[in-house]
Amino acid sequence: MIVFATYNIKGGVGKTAAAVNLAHCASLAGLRTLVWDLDPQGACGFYFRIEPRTIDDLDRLLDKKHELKAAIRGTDFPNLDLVPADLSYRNFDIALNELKKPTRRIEKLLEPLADDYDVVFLDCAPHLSRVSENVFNAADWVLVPVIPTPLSVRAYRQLRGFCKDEGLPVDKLLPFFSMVDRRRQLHCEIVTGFAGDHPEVLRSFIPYTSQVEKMGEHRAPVQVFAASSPGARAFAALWEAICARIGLGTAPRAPDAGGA
Amino acid sequence: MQCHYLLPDPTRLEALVASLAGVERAQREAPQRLTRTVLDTFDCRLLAADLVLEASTPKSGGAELGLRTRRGERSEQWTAASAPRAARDLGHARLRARLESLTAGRALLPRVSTRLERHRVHWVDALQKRIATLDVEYCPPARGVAALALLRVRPVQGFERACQRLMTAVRRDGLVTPTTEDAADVLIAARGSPAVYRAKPLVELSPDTTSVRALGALFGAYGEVMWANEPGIVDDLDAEFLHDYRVALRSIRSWLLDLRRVVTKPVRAHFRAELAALNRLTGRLRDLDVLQENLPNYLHALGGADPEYAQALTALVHAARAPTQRAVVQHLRGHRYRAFRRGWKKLARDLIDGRRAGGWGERRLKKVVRNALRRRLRRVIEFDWSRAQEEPAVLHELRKESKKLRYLLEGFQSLFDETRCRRAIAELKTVQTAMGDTWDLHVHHDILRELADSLPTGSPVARGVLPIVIALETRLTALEHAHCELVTVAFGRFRSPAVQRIYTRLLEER
Repeated sequence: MIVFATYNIKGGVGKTAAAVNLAHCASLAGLRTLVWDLDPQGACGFYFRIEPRTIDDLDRLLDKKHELKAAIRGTDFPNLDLVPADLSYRNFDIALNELKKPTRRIEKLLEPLADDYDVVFLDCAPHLSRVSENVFNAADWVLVPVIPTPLSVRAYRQLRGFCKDEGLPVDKLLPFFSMVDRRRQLHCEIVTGFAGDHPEVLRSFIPYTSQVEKMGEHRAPVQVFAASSPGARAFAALWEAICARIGLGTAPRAPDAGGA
Repeated sequence: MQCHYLLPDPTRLEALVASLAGVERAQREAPQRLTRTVLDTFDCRLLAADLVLEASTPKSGGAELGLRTRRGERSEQWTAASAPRAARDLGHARLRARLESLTAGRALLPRVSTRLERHRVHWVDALQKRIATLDVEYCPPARGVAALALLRVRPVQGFERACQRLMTAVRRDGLVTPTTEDAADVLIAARGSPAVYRAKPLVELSPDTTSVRALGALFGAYGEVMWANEPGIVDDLDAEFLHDYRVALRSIRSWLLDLRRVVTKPVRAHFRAELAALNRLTGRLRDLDVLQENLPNYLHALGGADPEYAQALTALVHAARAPTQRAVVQHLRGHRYRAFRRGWKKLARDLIDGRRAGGWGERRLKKVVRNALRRRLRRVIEFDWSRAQEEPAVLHELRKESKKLRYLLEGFQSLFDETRCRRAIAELKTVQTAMGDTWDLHVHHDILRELADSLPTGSPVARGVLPIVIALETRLTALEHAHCELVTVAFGRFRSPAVQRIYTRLLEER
């Protein structure tokens, strides 16, 4: 089982869109995929039309008697499941602090699922906290969407610095550009300059497209309602790039080869 | 967890679909015509691993694939452009790896196939989120089997309770009854699964039957093995197809020789000529198949061979195999072969009906077979072993003699005591394996030399490949000598009084 986290200190960079669409790409490739929404906004559940059940709240999840498996819900797509979040996740940090080994709880919760899933995506909330440490410990790879703006680039550098300071493995970070508008000179300059300074950045990027925004309207991954759009193609290419980088050995089919 | 239901009255199919679609919220898909096929290797390796691989192919194209355990505890579905011909064709990386190791590169063949009509309904919640997928599968009546309708309910994980509530309402209508079996298994059972493939079918023969009828039954069964392997040879899926084809071919050829007076002389002459031509044509391909399979081991054992030229040598073997394979395919698709097939099927039918019988045709089977076995055993035992030790071609003659003995034992084993016959075959098999390995080394030695000689003199490839071939020749010759020793031991054991007693008792059976 490979665990990916979509994470950035900064909000609004496309973490949830990346988690949902990349998870969909992985499921299309036949990989059993789970998305765990760790953001109290519950946007993943919104995209997959799944409402959290009250019985699956955070307290119950962190209770050792209960397993994460019970909170898993199937999406409309084969091989793709979700653990939806609700507002109780806003207290995740506090709840973790009350536990023994608070930085490894997510990792522990995922352990029993190793035989059931090939890929897990953790969709994280945008801040540095105890949850972030958990995510860094649990994830094999941390996907960091970066908008080509000075603030977003700064946030990525802050994240790298934090990892170094805390002794967390920096080479887990897989940054990629998100919401790239190639009509803007600033975006082009930052993409070029950043790639020079950070060779770890993935060459595939997600362009700024209205189709990705329309995910909220259709409540589905972009490949489902706009399979041949630039956004859908970009996510498929990004998944291929990730597979190639980490040596996963599988790539999803091209979006126009038939969605779910 | 899937649930399965039977529709006791298939004529009420429309009522059921309407009932399923009539719940509070449902999305109904247009009916689809599918062909559902269960795929497995020729020797049913997936079945042995308790797995069922299904491909559902709609007329519109594409394939829905499913892998499940036989009792349906776990199942996975995914889509593909077409049904796989081997595990390596699967786009699903994890399952590909799993099935490749299980099937060991063998082709995936249709074991059973059913046409059906599928009515699919999705139950959704207030957010239009699917909570269950319901497939009503209808098989129209065919070949004397009544129509069959089944319902498969697949609740989405986490929505089982909601689905259960709706299903209770449907069950109240009395249209369906629950079944513990998987719908696909019910379909397969109803449509009749074809007999499990056997490379050497066991034909039950009565000792008192006439020889001609028994030979007809054997020719029919082994002919079927040949036809079953043809597609795999033509598509070049797996070397095992040719192997099984040749075993059936040689068995038939051998019986036609050993029981020659059971059929008329013109029949014997015609079919022996056809079978000999097929044997010659496929023999070279089989030798190259075995070399291709063994070459990596030979090169590995050699150690230190330049990888680039070792690869060039492998490519050379591949290149030599390609035209041979094409020639075989051309023959199998030709008029002559088609006429042979038709003629063979007719011959088997005629013999079963007692026609085209030769002088021994009406004789009691066991007596004819026992005499043939006695003759063949004598030829093996009295073979000039001193010559066979020195001359590989003579050893090969002995190998052919013992093969003929084995074919007789295997084909007519139902006439003899099972345990005794099995022991007799096992003893013979030991000698044959040793002789086969020795002969393979000899043949590979010659093929490698022939391939090396075919390279343009002085070319860089020739300069690189030749030292490897020379080293391999030395190694293969040394191995051949070592194997000869093993043959001596095995043959010595076979001729020992202890083993011969088994044969004597076998031949004394009434």
